[in-house]
Amino acid sequence: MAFNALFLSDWFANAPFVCVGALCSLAIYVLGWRTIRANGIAARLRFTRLRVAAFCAAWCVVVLALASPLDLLAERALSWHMVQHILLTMIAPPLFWCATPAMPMLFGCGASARKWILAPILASSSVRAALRIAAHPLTGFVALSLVTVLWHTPALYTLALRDGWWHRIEHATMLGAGLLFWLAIIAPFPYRDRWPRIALVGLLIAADLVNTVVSAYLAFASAPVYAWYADLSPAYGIDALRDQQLAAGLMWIPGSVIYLGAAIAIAVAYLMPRRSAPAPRTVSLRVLASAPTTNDLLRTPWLGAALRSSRVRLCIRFALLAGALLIVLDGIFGTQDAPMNLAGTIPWTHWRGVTVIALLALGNIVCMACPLIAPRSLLRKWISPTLTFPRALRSKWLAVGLVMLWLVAYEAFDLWSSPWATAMLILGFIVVATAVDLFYTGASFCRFICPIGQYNMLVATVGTREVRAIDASVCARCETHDCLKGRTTDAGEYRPGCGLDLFMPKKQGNLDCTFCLDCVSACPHGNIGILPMIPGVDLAPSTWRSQIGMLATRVDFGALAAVFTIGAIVNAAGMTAPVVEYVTSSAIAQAAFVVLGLCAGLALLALGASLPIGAKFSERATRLALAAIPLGAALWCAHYFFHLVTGAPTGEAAVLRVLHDLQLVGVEPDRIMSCCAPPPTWLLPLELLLLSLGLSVAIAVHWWSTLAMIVKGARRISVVNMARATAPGALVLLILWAASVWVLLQPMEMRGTSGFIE
Amino acid sequence: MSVRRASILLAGCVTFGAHADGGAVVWMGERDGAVVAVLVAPAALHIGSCECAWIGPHGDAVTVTATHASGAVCFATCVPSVSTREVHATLELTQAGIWSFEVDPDARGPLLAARFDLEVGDAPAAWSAHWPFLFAWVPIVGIGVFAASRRVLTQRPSNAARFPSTNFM
Repeated sequence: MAFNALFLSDWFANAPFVCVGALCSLAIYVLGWRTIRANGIAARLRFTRLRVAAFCAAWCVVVLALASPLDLLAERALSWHMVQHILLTMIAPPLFWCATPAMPMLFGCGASARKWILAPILASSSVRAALRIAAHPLTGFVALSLVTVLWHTPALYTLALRDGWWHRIEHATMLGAGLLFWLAIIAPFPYRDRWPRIALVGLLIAADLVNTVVSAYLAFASAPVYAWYADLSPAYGIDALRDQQLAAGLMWIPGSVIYLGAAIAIAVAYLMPRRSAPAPRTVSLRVLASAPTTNDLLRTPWLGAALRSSRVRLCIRFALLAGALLIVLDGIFGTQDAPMNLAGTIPWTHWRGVTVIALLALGNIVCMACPLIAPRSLLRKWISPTLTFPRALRSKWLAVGLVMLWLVAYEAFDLWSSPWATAMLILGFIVVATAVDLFYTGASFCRFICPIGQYNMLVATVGTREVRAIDASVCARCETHDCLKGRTTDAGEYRPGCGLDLFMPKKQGNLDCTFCLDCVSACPHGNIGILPMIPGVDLAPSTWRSQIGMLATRVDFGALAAVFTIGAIVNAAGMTAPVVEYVTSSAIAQAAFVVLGLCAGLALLALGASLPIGAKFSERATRLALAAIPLGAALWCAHYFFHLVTGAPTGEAAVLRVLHDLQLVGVEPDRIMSCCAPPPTWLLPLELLLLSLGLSVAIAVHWWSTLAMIVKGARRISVVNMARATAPGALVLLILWAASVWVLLQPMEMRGTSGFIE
Repeated sequence: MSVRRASILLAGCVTFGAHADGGAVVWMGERDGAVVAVLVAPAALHIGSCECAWIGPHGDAVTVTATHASGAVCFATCVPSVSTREVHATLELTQAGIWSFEVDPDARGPLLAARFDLEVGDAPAAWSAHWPFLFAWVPIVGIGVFAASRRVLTQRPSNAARFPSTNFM
């Protein structure tokens, strides 16, 4: 059969998930391998580069078997199918075990995952018993024999060929049984032999016998065993019986070589005299210890140096301010056709999508680059505000009101479809931010007013990085607290402290942190970094936090979180076909939809917090709302990804239109619509996966919060108590997830700028 | 511990399965003295995408036409596939019911074409096509809850009391 290059590329485009899984697995392995090798010479001797090569090779074999044209060829000819099975049962598994993957994968997972997830599971007596059974040599032999015999029976074989899911199960069981079997044979560190090594020779011979029986059955059959190939092979110009005999030969000869080769190797190793100085078998690795953090974004070669410089940060803000003003100009003077105007496309389609990726990947880096605070950063060189923000407004209630107002206005006035309104909005934000911050000290606008900032901070709670002290002991010895108060350098340059009054040793997570990095410039010890954090980790613990206090008792934060999550659902629902059909009659109807949706969502959250479990209702409701943030963030992300992916071409069209208007290009671009590109097939699965991850983190935070309340109420911690206390809130989270899923499965539209997209 | 790795790989293999395959041989015949076959996937057709493959000798342009009883017509030209003897096309079937297929292997007219009828079912619910992603949270939450329960329930009371206020970074 001749391959076709066009088809090859088509095939790889259709099978990305195996490749993604392989890359993720490889990344974890290599990370862990590097960490282990830093433990000394003994570790380096055991975890050599050959281990990495074996792991890479094993994944290459799996990718070749499952995500290459081989998988399709296997449906067309039995001999190719046999190659696929040999790769999955005899080649990939020993390679995996030769890589001794257990320790590198454990270390690659990170200290928190090891300590909080893997250690409790692996310490469980039932899990250990199950592992002991699974790791027994007989288990592997029985599993591999059953898989080999059963999947070659005509009924099951045909079932797998006709149905994609059964085909996947077939491959999964083959790889799984292969791994179980070869585990005892290879005995990768830290596996302990259950039998004398010489006994495994018998096991290998027995496995070869099973393989031989199946091969012989295929080889000596007088007619094709599988009707599928009997039908298809003649169309390919292949004799089905010869193809079957070739497949049997492939299974028989290479299979026997592998099994008997391994048996001979074990026998020879057993019979050979032992060396006087064996290779080191013991490597001491502190699996549950956290390694000192070295993964600081501010210490990366280029980006870190740029972010540490206050001048570079100011330049970024001014560059973005220039871009914002360009958008404002186009919004006012350009065409009012939103998909062809910079103000109708860049802020709503591209900026939101890009920022949500940045928030998840880097933390609240978006507020750091905010163009709204660029004017104040400059003007404060001459104007020093003296007033403090009014005490009555020093909470999140004003922000809650503004976020709700924003959600209502967005829906009622279709802000995205009006470049002029967008331009006025941007201009209004710049003016208000500048005015507030020139009247009041610190970053009052960011902390108490800006609805976009609140959104960024809340999404950043499920981001992967936070601004944090690198070494707590350095902060404990520090007497000047420059990160808070600011300092004047020896050169006479004043470096302000945190505008949000966050004291670094008592700061936790990304709430109320705008990543302005003034603290980084002010700290004389260089002890502040942008460090990794576990998404959602700062939403549950009951520690006291700088400028926030006890988060669980801050009802205003709870209200903000609730509006954020419910708003995500209402906002996304506003562009679905069923909602658009019923509420587009007037602005009042659209506003009423948002208000009613918010009220219903808030009532649902209140209901979920109604069960008394050792804390006041306000704390219970606040904790549940905070727990819902990851779910809300997931839906905002899915929503904005959708716009970014389907609306990306509008940016090019709008820029070309501007260039044409400025007579810099001759050809005017064709008018295109928002959401103009058809969504790729991977988009909906990705959105649903995001929601799944959001719900997982939300339930984890809720569980943690419930535990804290039970402890606070001095109640007994038991499975029954925990289940009873967690159930109402978890049910509410499930309802919110179901509503989010429903929204994503509907046809989407941006009113006034596009048609429906299924 | 090593078997944990095995279970991860096993689960990963199921979750990250390869491109869905399967299908059914729906027509066989002879052309220029050689056996030819038409393969349609998935085996049970529903409203939505349908792969139709021609296996055997063929001309430069192989076309597939599907006509619904209501008169709706889907047409596609085949593109090369994994073998030089195989070409395939994707059709978007928009209605449930009986569709009459006609595969013309070299656009030489109706005499050499393969004709067959297939029943197409209603579109499956959108969620059913993506259930691994939709319910990915079930194993994650299951593992998380199990680990958390084990950790909390096996702690001494003094530790448990301090537990919620500890920073678990």
